[in-house]
Amino acid sequence: MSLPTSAGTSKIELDSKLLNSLLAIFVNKPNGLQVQLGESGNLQVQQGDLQVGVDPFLISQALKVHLRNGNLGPFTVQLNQLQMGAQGLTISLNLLT
Amino acid sequence: MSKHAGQFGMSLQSSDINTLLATFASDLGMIFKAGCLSVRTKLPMGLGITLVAIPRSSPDGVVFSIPFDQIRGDKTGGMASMLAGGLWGLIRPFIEKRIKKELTARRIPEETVTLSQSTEGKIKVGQITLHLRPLNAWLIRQPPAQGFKVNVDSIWATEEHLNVILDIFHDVYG
Repeated sequence: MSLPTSAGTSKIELDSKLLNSLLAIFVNKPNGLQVQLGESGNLQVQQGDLQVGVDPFLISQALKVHLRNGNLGPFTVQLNQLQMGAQGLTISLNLLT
Repeated sequence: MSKHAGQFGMSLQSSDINTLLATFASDLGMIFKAGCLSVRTKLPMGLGITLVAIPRSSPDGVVFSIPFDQIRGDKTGGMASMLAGGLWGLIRPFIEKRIKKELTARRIPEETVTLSQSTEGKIKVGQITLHLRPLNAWLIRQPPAQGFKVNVDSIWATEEHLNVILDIFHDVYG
C-alpha cells in the first residue's frame, strides 16, 4: 500500500481487499444486495436483475463533517477529496477544532 | 480464526497530529514538527528539559533517536546539552519508568520498547526502539473490536506526515 501525500492534507486509505471485505461483512446479503469493487476500480452493484456500475471517481469538493462525541472532542473533519479506483478508497481530510 | 481482511493506511499531516496530541495526550508535552517529535518534560529533580526524538523505520520496527546535543534545559539552556551526556544517565531511567508504566497498564510485553545508547555520525544519541513483533503478538491476543483485530505493518515519518499502515484481520467463526 502506498500513501501518496500532499502538503497540508491527511489521508486514510482502504485498500481494495479491505474495501471488499467490509462490503462482504456489512453490506452484501445472501440473495440480496451485492456490492463489489472490481479489479479495474469499478464499483459493481447488483440487486436481483438490476446491475449498476460506478466508474472510478475523484471528487474534489470540500465537505465539513462535525464529530460530536464526548470522547473525541469537538472536532470538525473537513473532507477535501474522495478517490475510488483499483487501489481502493482514499479519503483526504483535515481535522479542524 | 482470523482472516486477513486487507490494509488500512493513515497519513496524518503535522497539524492534525498536533491537534490529536493536544486533545488526547496533552500531559506528554509532545509536538510533531519537521518530521520529529519534540518532547518537553520535567525531570524528577525539577529540571525542565526539551528533547527531540527523530523517528526512522527499521526492519524490526521504529527507532527514535534522541541527539544529546539537542537536549535543552529550561534554566541551563545550552548547558543542558553540554551536560546531556551525563544527563542521559538521569533521563534514561525517567523515560524507562514512564514507558514501563504505560506498557504495564496495558499488559503490553516489556520487550516491545527498548532503550539503548549509540553514536550517529559524531553525535551521541539515546535510542528508543518500538519492536513490532511483540507489539503485533500482543495486538492479536486482544479481544476483537466489532470482530476486527489489527497488526501494525509499518510506521514512518516524513517532514510533514506520520504514516501508519495497519493489517486488518476479521474473526471468522465455524
